[in-house]
Amino acid sequence: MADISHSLMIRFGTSRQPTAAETNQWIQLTEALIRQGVSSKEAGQRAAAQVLPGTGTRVFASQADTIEMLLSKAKEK
Amino acid sequence: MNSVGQIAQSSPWWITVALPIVTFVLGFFASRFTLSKKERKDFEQANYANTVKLVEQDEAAYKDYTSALLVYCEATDVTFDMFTSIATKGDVYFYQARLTCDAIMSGKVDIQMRDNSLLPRIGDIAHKTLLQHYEALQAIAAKKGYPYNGELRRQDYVSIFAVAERFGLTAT
Repeated sequence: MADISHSLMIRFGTSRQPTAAETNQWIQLTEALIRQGVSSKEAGQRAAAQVLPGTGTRVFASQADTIEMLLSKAKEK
Repeated sequence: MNSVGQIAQSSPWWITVALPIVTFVLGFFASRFTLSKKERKDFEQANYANTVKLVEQDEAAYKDYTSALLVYCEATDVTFDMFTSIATKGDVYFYQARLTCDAIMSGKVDIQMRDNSLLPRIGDIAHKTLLQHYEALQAIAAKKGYPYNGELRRQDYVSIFAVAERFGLTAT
């Protein structure tokens, strides 16, 4: 399976890139939560808060986020 | 060598003729269809340089597009020229994304950078930005009475959607 540590850092704004062990923990915890009936997005978020270092401490504004914000501002003019 | 001499002595004459020919042919085809270590390193280096260039061009196009949007948003009185600028700079941004996707499809990119930087952006463009761009322009044109008949046509962006599909990209 491709290494998703980098993607997890971007998606959950962690303070540093998770180690392989932390990434595996996140995967297992997310799958467990999904089996309990939590939605996949919510499960990922909860697992990240529990397992990944410094979740939500950084914000990586993607290109798409910035463009989306500017487009909606332009529409209001 | 000894073993060859032994083979030569104990086998029919045609084996001593066929053996060197067969091994030559097998070796020839093996070298045609595999890469030496140096060839592989050169290939990876070319892909890396290629990808860096694509990322630079993508960032430049992104900067231009967002600048055009900012000019429009911050102007006290907007003009038709500002609107056109958004449309054309957006086109350049998407064109650049198409080039990147073509390179991805022909395997000419560094795999790590592709997965970390390129694919997330392509996914966003395919699922969000393209649609938002055209919707916004149509809404603005209607509001301000500008002539504009642009619309999202999938056939204009085939390679972008092809990459999104091939790599199972979803909106983030």
